[in-house]
Amino acid sequence: MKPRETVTSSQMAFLAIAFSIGSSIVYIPSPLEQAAGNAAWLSLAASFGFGLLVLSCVLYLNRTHPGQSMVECCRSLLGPAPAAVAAVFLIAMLFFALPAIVAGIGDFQTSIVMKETPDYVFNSFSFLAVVLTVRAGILVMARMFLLLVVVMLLFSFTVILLALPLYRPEYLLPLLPGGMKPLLHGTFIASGFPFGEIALFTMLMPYAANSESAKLNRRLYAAYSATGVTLLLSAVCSTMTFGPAAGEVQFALFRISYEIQIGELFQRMEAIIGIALILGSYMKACLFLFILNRTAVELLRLRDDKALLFPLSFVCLLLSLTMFRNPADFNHQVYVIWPFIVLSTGCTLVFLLSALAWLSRRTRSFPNGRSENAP
Amino acid sequence: MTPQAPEADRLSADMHANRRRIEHVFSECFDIQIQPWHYGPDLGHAAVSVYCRSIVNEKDVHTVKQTLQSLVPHELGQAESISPEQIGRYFGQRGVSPQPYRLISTIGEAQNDVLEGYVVLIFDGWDQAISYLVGKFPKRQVTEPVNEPVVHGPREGTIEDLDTNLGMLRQRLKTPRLKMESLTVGDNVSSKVVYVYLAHAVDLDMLAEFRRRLAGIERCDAVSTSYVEQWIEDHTWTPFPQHRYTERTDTAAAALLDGKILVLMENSPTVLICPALFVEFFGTSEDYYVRTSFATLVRWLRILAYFMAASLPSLYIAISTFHPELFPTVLLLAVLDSREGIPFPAFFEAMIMEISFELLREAGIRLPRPVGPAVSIVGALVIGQAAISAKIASPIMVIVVALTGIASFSIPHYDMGIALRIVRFPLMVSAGILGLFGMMIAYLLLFLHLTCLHTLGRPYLSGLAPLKLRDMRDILIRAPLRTLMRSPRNRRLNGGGPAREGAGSR
Repeated sequence: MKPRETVTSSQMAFLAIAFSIGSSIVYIPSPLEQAAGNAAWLSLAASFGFGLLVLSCVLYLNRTHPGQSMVECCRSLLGPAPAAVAAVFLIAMLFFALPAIVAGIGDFQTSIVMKETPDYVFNSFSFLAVVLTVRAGILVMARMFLLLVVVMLLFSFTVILLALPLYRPEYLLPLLPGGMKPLLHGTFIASGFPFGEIALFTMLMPYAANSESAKLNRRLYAAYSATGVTLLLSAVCSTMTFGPAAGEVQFALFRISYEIQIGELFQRMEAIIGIALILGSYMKACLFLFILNRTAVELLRLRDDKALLFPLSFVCLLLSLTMFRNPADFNHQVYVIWPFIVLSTGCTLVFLLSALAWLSRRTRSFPNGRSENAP
Repeated sequence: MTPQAPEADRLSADMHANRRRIEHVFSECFDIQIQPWHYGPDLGHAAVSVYCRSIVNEKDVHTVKQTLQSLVPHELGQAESISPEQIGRYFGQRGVSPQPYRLISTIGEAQNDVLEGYVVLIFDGWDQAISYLVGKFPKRQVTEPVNEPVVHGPREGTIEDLDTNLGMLRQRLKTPRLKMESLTVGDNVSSKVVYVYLAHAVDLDMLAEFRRRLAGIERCDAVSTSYVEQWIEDHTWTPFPQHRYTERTDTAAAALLDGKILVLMENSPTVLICPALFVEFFGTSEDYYVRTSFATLVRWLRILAYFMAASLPSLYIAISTFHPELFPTVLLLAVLDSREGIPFPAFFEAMIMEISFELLREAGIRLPRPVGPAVSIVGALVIGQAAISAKIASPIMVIVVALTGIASFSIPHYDMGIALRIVRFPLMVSAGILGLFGMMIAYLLLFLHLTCLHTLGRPYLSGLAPLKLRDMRDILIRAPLRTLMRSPRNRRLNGGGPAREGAGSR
């Protein structure tokens, strides 16, 4: 096998932003508003806290098992058979997530931009770009995404800024219109998508350059916080623009951009958000396909790590065309089922591994059960 | 002198034998002159001079006289007292002569020297020969390069003569750290290739890689520096140039300070700068001669020109075909109005116009100069007025094509302009098929392609991907020269010591 490519800590941080923001900057406000109403941004903040917990577990695993992916970690902590089971679960998760991301692009195009074009056109071209990118390797992806994340954030913030005249802060009140339950519901959704997904980032950690551990942790926390702030901003802005109707609006940021009209100069800004959405989805899909491929390669212990790339993405393409019967079904699967899967499988696995790693370290440090103060 | 030369190749003491062998080597070479001479007491000793008439100034061929004069006392005369032994002893031990000479001992060396414009003198009874460089092939004057004119800055350009070019570089960098290594390529062209670098500025890994790539070129008949470029480049099929050319010595010197390797070649006026990064094609040497604010403005214009040259027609196709709602209403009406009656979809309209524009451009380059203006008049009529009247193209399309053309002309590097011309067509196709989404995918694939490229082992997009904010001061803006000089782009220059190994760029 070739020596593994490594990426620097700052590139890793941008990969984390691409991974966690992805397309959610456009998608996430709507389902949250639907579930939690005005408390959407509060639930986003709460789930960001949960995401930080997951991230700290990911980083802890990277410290105790440097250079090991989630599957390898599982293998060394639990043994080969449970590791294989975990890998199968992960693959199953990704076989859902990856088609969903790409179907999101197709859905956006067919429902808003080009209504007469069938979705397989968009999905297959998207997958083509994704699979070619993943084939080029993580280093090329890291280099590309650094610039693309900057472009994506720049475009999103431009729209958020230009929409200033549309905001009505009074829409933010009351803070908790329906009490705690909607807030918890929103927190559940956002904890799964997008914040909990960071659990899968464990599969990418081995690619971080080993020499920069402390810097890496700092930068990943910073990147993740940037994600949190960006999503929070997009949720707050969507509430301030649409008020109680925000839940009914799909692709909130896109709709905001549609409303922008500053003189004759700044109007029709939706193309910018379209670009941001495609960029975000593309980057996230690349990283998910990379992880999917990595997991499959580690499960099957293949020597050629590119052999499965095209078959896997072809399967995902077919899934993306068949899995979702209609947009309502898509919303149900992505905002109800997917968060549950992320929490119950991805996050639970990371928590479990972290706990085991902590225990095994403890028993190794103090084999005779002596206390820490003993000489 | 080459002690390891095969015995058969060595000059013998018998001048006539040497002469026969040289005549054999140069048989059917009309311009080789073999001139016998006699000297000494009663003109009893014989000598012969061999030179190539077409590259030697025959009026200057008084080298025999000069040689003999070196041995006699301070008087002019017929050098009657000289014998071949004296000549052999004197010049064999490198005696002083008014003109520099080379001592040669094989037929091969004699042959090479004759072909390089030397006059070879062979004396009977001496198994060596001496050669003088006499006159040279007429060469072009040092003038301002036609392809890289500037408003400010030096007007000096390289010419076809290698020594003159190297001399101009030496003039600019008067340091022993300026290294020039040479090799001779090709059995037939037998041209010198010299690569030049600044020892403390160049990345040693890169230099080693460059040398490794260059290996084997000695056997190839390269006639120009572009052969060297294609010999050492990483990716053959990409349209994007991975090395730069210049004919300006100031650009070449600046490149050396940046740690580049220059390749110069005999009979080739262009200097190859290895490696070139994508972002370097945004700049010109003049950026550093004008005020910071103006240089920065021009940078932005060029970046805009890049995007326009690559994607303006495709953007027009995409928006007018698939997303008319993105036009402001008034503009949309204007576009629709102008497109009324045009029988082609926007894609074909754009293709027709672009292809005729490319044809016109190509014709303009190849045509004899007096015919050139005629083509531009015809072109202006055909793709301008007549196309609109005949309803083949809309006025807006003509504007789009013209703007694209102007944008591609304002890209300072011709090679990069060509790359963008090539890239424009797939972008137009993708826009014609899938609108902005297609363009987006095409742009992503283009970006992926550029990120995958390497030049001499360095990522082609260095500065952008991997993104280095520090480099942006010479990409997005042109920072004040004081800042750039205080901490040069090439950090090795700061230390001034021997070149360190380059940190691997990610």
